[in-house]
Amino acid sequence: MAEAGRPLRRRAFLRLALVLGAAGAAAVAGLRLRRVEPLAGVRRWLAPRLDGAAPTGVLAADEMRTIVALGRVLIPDDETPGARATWVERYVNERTARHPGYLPEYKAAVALLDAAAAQVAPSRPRFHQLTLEQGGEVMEDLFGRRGSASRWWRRVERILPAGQRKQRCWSFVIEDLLSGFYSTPAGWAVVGYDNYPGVPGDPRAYTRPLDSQVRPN
Amino acid sequence: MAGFTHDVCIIGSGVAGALVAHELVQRGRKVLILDAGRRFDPTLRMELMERAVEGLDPWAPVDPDPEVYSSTGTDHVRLEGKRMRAVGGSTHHWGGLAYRMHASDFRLRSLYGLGEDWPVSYDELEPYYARAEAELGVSGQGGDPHASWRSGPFPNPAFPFSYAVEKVVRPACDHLGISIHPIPCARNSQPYRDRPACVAFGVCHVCPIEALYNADIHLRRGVATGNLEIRPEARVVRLAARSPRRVTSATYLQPGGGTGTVEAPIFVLAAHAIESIRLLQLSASPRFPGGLANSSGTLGRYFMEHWATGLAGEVEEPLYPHRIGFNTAHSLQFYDTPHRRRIGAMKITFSAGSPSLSELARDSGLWGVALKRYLRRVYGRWLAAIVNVEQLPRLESRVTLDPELRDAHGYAAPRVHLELGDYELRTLLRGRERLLRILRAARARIPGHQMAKFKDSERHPIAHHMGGCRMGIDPAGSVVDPDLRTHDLDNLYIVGSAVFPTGGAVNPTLTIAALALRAGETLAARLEGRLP
Repeated sequence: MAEAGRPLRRRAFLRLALVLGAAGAAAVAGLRLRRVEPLAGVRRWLAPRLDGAAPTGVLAADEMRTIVALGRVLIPDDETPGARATWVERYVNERTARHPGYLPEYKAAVALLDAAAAQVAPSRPRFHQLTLEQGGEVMEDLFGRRGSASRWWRRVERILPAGQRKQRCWSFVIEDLLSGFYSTPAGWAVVGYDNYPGVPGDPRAYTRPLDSQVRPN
Repeated sequence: MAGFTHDVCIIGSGVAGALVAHELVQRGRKVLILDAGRRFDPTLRMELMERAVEGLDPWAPVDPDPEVYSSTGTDHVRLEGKRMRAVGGSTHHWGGLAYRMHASDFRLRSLYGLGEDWPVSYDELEPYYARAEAELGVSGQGGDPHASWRSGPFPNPAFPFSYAVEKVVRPACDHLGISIHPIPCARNSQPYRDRPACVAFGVCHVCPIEALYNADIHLRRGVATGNLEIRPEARVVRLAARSPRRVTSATYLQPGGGTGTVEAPIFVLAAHAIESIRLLQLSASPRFPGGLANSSGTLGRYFMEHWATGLAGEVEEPLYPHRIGFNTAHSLQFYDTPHRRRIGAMKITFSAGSPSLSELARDSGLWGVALKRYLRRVYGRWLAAIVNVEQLPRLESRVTLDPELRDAHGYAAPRVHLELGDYELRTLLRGRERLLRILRAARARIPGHQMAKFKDSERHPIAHHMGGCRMGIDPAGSVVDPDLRTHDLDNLYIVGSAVFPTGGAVNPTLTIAALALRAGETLAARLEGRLP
């Protein structure tokens, strides 16, 4: 900064730097004392939101096939069963029919997955036509960096226009399916709760470790 | 009463309305309840439980209409799934926590210069708390040095601490000198008054056997007397006051279309805090331009919520959570401290069930077999501590009618404006510091994103809506008198948490129940001519 066109002298510069530094420190301290969150508003503004005015309804059969295939990729069989088509259909139909905002999100997810499928396997341009392995590749292409749990990447992705569709797909469709499945008996079976939910047999069984719990026949 | 079919018309059938009705019909009074929600067959409870375990909203068939509201202020409320329009109200899906408020909550202004004093003291309300515990069948254990005094034991013994509490919480709290105690809950630990004992189905928000109390239990008893009539799907949209000091009729929407009208000598408004305020505002007329019972200008004001925040950490040993649907231990040690003037009341609870399997899956960023492996590795090794804090009643925190938003029937939707201040934020911060000490003493490893909550001041409203029709002696500063009769209208009473002058930090249902029993008793005495 110059004063009346003259170069800033060293002492004036140091004084200015000191004043600005002190003012900045005071401002930061003030914000901290008052628990003000300067970035909270920005974060809230960037967070994806459901359109509460959107119409409700159910997916077309063709669209549902893509979501069922997504369910199979998200929750595959291994030593315990994965997501079955009947569960996915019932769960998603209820979600989109009852909760405003979910129907367009599920439709957008179908479009996103089908577009990505066409790139991975041009001969099979629909996501539900892919093999399980190819479906996994599509997921890896779209969301692969999430698995590395990079919170910074998620934050950056939110503000990139190209990332917003993926962000919405993750937040409103993938998290929804995962959350729903892992509330079901099949989901609980993944962690060994073959009896959940249900009567432990002895009402006090919850006070003991699982392996000594008396189980009903 | 001469010229009327019913002695009293109650609007709303949650715990408040049900207990007022109970008090009246047992004394031979004829009562009509109008409720906006549906009646459902209790034998469907097992089916609803199955919906819950399928990951579906269990109560959707009972309360299918979406919530329509707006929210402004420093913090937003969330009403979706938090209230239930059904005969029996929100007790169908509540958690059953049945706390007495602390004696200091009733004298906040006298003791600390904050908020307002209640016009009734804890000592006056104590017998009604005891009766409410008996009616709801509360299980608990006396002797908590940080709770208010009680005149007798709980009706049912407390549930024992869960495995997680015994294994890690109790040793950690003992080490820190923090006392923990069983949570009082309206859930039978033994068979009680024709209801079975809890057998730990683990799906408490739809107790399939009614070991957990719900208000429909009292409503069914009332109907059995022949003195109670319930009209479900009758949403009251207007109270008419064609004389200066009396409500003359209630107009309600009929399920098949059109409206119905009920005239009664006495009306009791028991329609949940927000809806009770809204109905009084919707009933504005040239004689009552600011809404009914609003000569003080305080209708809708001093609205409050409870705010919660939590911390979770990973422990070394598995804790086998989710084998019951409720938490078993709390600490009230920091509820009423010498610092209450600066740091509000707080209640700490512990849970090995958070994060749930769903939350872990959602937050992991993983999918497929990798997610399944991750869940097998980490599930059940988490311990969470949660703190609930009080919100002070503020003039600017209020419920009004939204000027633009309309519900499905074309009536103005509620707008909830909440203001949190330094008091609440300081309390949340202090609460989190306490949680951190406890988790560290439990040798829990707290991940970075949990620690980040300290910077974010993360908090959640927990749908304990209070205030807006507050109780007071001065008609210039309150809506109802200590008997819960409105200052302006001689035959209109308001029950429920809307009348709370302060909210403390404990779940409000038992206080709602105690006040409802007291109001019912007063009403009965008036009807019998024993009171003016």
